[in-house]
Amino acid sequence: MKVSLREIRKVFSDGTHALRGVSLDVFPGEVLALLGENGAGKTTLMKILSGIYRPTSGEIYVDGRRVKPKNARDALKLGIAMVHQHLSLIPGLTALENVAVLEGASLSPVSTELRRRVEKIAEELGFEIEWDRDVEELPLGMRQRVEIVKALYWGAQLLILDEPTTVLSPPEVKSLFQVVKRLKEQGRSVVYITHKIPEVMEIADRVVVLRRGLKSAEFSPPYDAKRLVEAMVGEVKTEAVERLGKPGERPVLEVKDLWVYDGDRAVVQGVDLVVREREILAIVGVEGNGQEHLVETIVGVRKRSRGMIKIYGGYAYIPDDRQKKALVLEMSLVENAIIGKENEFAKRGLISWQQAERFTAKLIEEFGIVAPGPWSSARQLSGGNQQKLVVGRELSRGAKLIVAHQPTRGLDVATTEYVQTLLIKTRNAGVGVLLVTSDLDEAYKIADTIAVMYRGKIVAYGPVEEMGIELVGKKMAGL
Amino acid sequence: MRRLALSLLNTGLALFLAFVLGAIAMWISGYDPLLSYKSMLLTPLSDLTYLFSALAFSAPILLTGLTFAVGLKAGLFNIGAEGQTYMGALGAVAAAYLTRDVSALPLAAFLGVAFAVAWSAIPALLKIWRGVNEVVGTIMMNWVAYWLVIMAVSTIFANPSQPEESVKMPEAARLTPLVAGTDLTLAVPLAYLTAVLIYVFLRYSVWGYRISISGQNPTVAKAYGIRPEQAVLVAFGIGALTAGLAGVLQVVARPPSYSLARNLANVYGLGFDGITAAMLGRGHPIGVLLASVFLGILQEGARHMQIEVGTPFEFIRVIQGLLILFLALQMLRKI
Ligand SMILES: Nc1ncnc2c1ncn2[C@@H]1O[C@H](COP(=O)(O)OP(=O)(O)OP(=O)(O)O)[C@@H](O)[C@H]1O
Ligand SMILES: [Mg+2]
Repeated sequence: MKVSLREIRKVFSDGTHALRGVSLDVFPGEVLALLGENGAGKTTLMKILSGIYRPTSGEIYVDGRRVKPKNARDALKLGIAMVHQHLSLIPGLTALENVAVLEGASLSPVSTELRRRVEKIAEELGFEIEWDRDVEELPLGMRQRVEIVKALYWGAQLLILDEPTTVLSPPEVKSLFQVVKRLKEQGRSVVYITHKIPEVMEIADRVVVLRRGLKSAEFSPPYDAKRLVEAMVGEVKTEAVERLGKPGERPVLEVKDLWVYDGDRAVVQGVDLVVREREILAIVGVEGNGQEHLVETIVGVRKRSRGMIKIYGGYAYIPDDRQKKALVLEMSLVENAIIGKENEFAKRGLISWQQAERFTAKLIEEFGIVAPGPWSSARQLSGGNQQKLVVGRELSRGAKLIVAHQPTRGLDVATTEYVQTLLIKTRNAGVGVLLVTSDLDEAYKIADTIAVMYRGKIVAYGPVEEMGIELVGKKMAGL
Repeated sequence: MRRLALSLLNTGLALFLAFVLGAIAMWISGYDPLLSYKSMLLTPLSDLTYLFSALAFSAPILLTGLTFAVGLKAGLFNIGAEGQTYMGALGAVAAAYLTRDVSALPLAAFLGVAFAVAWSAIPALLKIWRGVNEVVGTIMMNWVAYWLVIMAVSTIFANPSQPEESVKMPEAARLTPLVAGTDLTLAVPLAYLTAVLIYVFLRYSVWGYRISISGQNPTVAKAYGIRPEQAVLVAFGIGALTAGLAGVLQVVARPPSYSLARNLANVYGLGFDGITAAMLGRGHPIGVLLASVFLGILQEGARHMQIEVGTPFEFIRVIQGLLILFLALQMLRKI
């Protein structure tokens, strides 16, 4: 199936020009990578193709025939499906029900015929999925596989993956690549949105770069990494910031013998750790080994079952899921910017929104957040800009401890660099950072100390110089 | 601006549908809908006495509407205003029973509000401690209040000379009409002022902000040091203040009887009307104010409709019920 977009423009109701005339073809059996910095319009363009947004102007052709998908279901009938940046399964339904729910197929019980076909598709792709569990209980990586199977079950010929690897661990990324290759062999096309150059170099047959709503370049193999980055962000200037000085002595966070249960499953099993001043402690591990529970217990969202947590001098918190845990999407940037420090903007119990607005404007400027204005709603921001808002807010909190869970997820190359630099700078200023990440490169780049988490336990712990990548890799796999 | 226009349009549509279906119901029952609506909507505006009476109706509806609106902000479906209003009225009656001079007025305000707050604390704490859904908790408390207050008014607080009602407020402690010969008492400006205060509270106060955050996303609230349970308590508490005040005013500022009827006629259904007002006003305090004036006009107008055209008063209940239905459908569709 060949899909063509012609001169697509999109102006949102608030006047944001997200796309300013983009034309694009996707050929059968092709993996097309869509690159671009945060807010470039990648998600918007693909949401138009998959029927979620209506273009302001422009045309879509499928095999030469003009189409106007009115919603996601319409697009799926044409064979176009999208797996979203922020996954979109229906909580409260099982994985299988989520596949069936389209077209009002019967849910209780889901027909055995459907189950058989779904399981067959999953098997062909090498997926193991717990079909009968509530999707909310599934790890993000598995939810993503459910979405892929769902798309294929309903006959997708063109699959759009929006930053699919941000929620995946390295082995999961490998298996996703296998899947993409398999889809290609089956003659389907894939549009792959990403910020990660190595991924592009590995699987893309062609690369299109978007910049501020326009197509800025197109590449075919062999790729030159440097030119790809340049096309994305203009020239790259990296200000190299080094960690200065050794970690201090005084702790900003102490955790002793911490146990956390989820139901009757012990998810965190006797964790001990200390973050000191001027130290970045990176907890690495394959996602789903208890990191989420550990972090959320430290910041007080979850209850501990046993053990001790001590925080000295307040904390700032960058959660792994900005849309669910960090932002109130329906509220304005201003209201989101002051969460947890509303008192600082209040006199005699009344908030000065003017002052809050000034603060927000400063965040927008300082962190380069692309937004229509401080009073637009957080939902209107692109994924990466939402993340910048969260990072900016948290770093300006002035706490002695920063708990950062996947802080660069969904950020473009330049912004990732920027956030990592900021973390190092705050560390140099004497703040302790608990960095929880599944990105080993990130850990090695900025951490003083590395701890490996596996099945709820810290299985290795030491200064970064002593923690060779081979050892860490083994420990992560439970060897 | 766009959002405001859209919600006005939606509200208008719901109103239109409710009135059309109401008209059909009238027509089927053999009444003239056009004449009925004419006297329902226009007569109250034709005369200052009628208009003031409509405004007097609007005051308690506004106060109970604020209860529901503040609850919505906190993500609660707090339908306890009904029972809390009874308790507020009971407090006023108790004050009238205890003292027979002007001090009954502040005492009434204090007892009424205290009773209402205590009443709402039960479902609030049940929700926080035991996870009992607030709808269940408040409905339960509404019914307990209903029978309890009827019992109290029929026994200790009964009026020996007029068995149909409780002891009356002492004359010195009454809020009498501001314009002689009308129903317009201090209750009306007081209620409107309360709406403005609640608006300021929700829009500008730290706690108003915390309530909205935890109402929209309790996970975020928790992660950044806002305790959703506290927000629930505050929202319930503020709601009880206004509902209790409504009950107090229905006794101390409601000519001619200045008492609580034994069948609770002067407080019964106010919580229900408040929900309509809150939904019609889209949960915004000033919107609730406008909606309650509109509902007050309907209440007053319905009397004239019955007198002038002979269409039964009860049709306004039909229209209100339909209105709630359509507004609720719109809310559901949005989710
Ligand atoms: N619903 C919306 N209303 C208004 N503006 C929007 C809306 N959705 C996106 N935008 C704006 O359109 C632009 C493009 O956003 P888009 O989500 O397509 O970016 P993106 O390339 O996917 O970025 P990222 O890598 O950060 O996810 C941004 O400036 C964004 O703020
Ligand atoms: Mg995006």
